[in-house]
Amino acid sequence: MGRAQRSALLWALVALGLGGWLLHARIHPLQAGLVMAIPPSVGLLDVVGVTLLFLGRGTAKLGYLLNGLFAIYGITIMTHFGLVRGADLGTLRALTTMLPDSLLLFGDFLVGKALFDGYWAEARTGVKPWNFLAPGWWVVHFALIPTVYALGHVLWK
Amino acid sequence: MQYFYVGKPGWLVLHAAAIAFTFWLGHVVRFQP
Repeated sequence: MGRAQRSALLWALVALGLGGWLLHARIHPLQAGLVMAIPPSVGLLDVVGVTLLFLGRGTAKLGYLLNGLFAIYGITIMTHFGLVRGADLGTLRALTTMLPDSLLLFGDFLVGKALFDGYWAEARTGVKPWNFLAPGWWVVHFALIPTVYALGHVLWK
Repeated sequence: MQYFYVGKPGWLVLHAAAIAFTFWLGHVVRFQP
């Protein structure tokens, strides 16, 4: 991957992260208390921390892992929020209430994937699809993390 | 290839912590309808 491509992807990561962060800043006013400050704080960590990690080849692995986990947790919690707030809309409409926000976050994950592949693609030939950080690994974690989250919500009142 | 090799005990500890955290997160996040 060339310098120009990597630079464009890094800026895309910053733009998406910052855009999402500014959306959160509107929805969660910081003066509303400590709990309301958690989503913007995590978002800021995502924008600054993960972007810095993506600057180097060695740290890009951790950047990719954290960026993906932030995306999975973000999509899980936002979908949960949509289901609660849109309960009167019916399950399908409620499920898609937060879809625009979730899709932004998914795009953010894919930009991180492109950056990671740019650094490591040649080292990954012959890797099993379900191995760590390969696509299958993400599919498994995209299914299991929301499942554990939902179990915690339902079983632990 | 392995990006972060933590061994089997490391893997178990990491997953136990991640599952506990996610389970707790599901418990603690309660949105007002």
